Amino acid sequence: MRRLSYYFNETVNGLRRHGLMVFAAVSTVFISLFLFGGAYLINREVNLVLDFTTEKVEVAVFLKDTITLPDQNRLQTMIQAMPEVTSVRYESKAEAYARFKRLFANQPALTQNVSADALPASFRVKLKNPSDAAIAAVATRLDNQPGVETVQDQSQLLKRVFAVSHILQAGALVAAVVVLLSAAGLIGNTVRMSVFSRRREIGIMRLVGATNWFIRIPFIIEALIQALIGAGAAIIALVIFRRVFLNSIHGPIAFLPIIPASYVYVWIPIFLLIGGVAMAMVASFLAMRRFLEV
Amino acid sequence: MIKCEHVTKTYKDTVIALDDANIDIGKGEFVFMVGPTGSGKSTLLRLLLKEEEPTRGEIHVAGKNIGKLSPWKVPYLRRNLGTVFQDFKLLPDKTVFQNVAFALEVIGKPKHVIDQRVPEMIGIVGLGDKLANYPDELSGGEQQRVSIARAFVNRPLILLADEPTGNLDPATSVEIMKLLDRINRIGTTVIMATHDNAIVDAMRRRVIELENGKVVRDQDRGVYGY
Repeated sequence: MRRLSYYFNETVNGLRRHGLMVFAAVSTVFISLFLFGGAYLINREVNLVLDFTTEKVEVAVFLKDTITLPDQNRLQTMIQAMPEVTSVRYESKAEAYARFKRLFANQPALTQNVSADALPASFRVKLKNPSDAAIAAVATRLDNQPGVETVQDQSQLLKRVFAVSHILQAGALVAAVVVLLSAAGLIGNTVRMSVFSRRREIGIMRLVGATNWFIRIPFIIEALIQALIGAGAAIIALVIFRRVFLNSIHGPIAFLPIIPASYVYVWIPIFLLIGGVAMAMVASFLAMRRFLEV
Repeated sequence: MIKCEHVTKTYKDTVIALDDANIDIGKGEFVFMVGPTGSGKSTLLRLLLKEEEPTRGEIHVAGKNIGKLSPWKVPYLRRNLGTVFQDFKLLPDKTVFQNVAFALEVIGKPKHVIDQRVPEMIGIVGLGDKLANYPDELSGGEQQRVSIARAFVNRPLILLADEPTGNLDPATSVEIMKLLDRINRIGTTVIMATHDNAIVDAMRRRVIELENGKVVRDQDRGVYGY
């Protein structure tokens, strides 16, 4: 009990003495962990969307309006017979228009100006393995067939969108690592300042035979508290971030999958707390190494 | 109690602080270490506390070869060695009671032990009425008494004093010496490094003289000079 109150008093005094430094350290921990958590959240979301969309991705074979029924039937049998293909589905002009109206339900200006006849009929082709090679093979075989207008590979566009988002995520991760290092530096610095302002006490403690752990623990707790406050703020901010930002993009495109709440409420807090604690331990040990040799 | 065998300490291979020193001090002895500044007295005290390692030779303290002591055991070695310095090393923001209690708190002694032993120890050094005073409200002699109380409150086997009277006037020094003598008489080994010839001559105790890191004289009931 006595020992606990000693640690508590020493820690509180240490934190109070260097208020501004502590604030700087806590806020960099917060920014860094928020970036980590945010990058992770976006990464999870993008992967979910990617899985969801590539699973649905299909090659669209648009047909000329002038195509004859025998040509159309022959084409369907031919596609069906290709080894890369899982299934093929005919989408009539009417069906295409219905889907168009559904997709752009929020943009009446578009739907009103497109007539039911404007959209071409197509074969929707699903591939076993939607790799670039498979898509290219299917496309070249169909390109010159009579009645085929164009073959469109829908995955190309998606891939470009996801490539951009991967670059953004990598950037956020690099920034998070840099800020985490400076957070460690700042925490180390506050520890060092505390050690310095208590150097007389430490000298006497060592002289009368206090163990190294006894001397170190208040400083370690000091570093841990800073990291935990920063991590706690980052977790709260991420919960709000998920609510506001992710929910706002999910409003208009409600058919996309959303990351499960367990990520934000369970996994991210666990990762951030462990990360923050580990960083604080390393920082305080590095900071004390020079001062507390036997 | 303390045994140094062929102890040599050099710094950066060129400065020789101790040169093949052999010292054997028994339990309950009172020993003066004399010699000019830089003769190796302070180095010897630091080696005994294992603040530094000898370059060569072996040191035994309280029956243990401290060269073979693992780092985590060093604090337990130091609990057997009380230390007193010329500059007192008191904490200015703590009272007399708190300064002495600090030495017990940081080695994990329970509160009831502290509440009993600290006032008793401060009474022994004659400051029973100054428990609540801060160091800057005390005279030099009184501050040194507090530092002796702190060094002795855990009843160490050995008391190391590095010029404890160096900052004090002769009359006050005599009082401090009486206190150290009293601590010695209850069985504590006292080793005192000093320049104070009057004290050494008056006490007539064992004198070990160092010069350029060598033991040049080891004499029972000695005096400061020849």
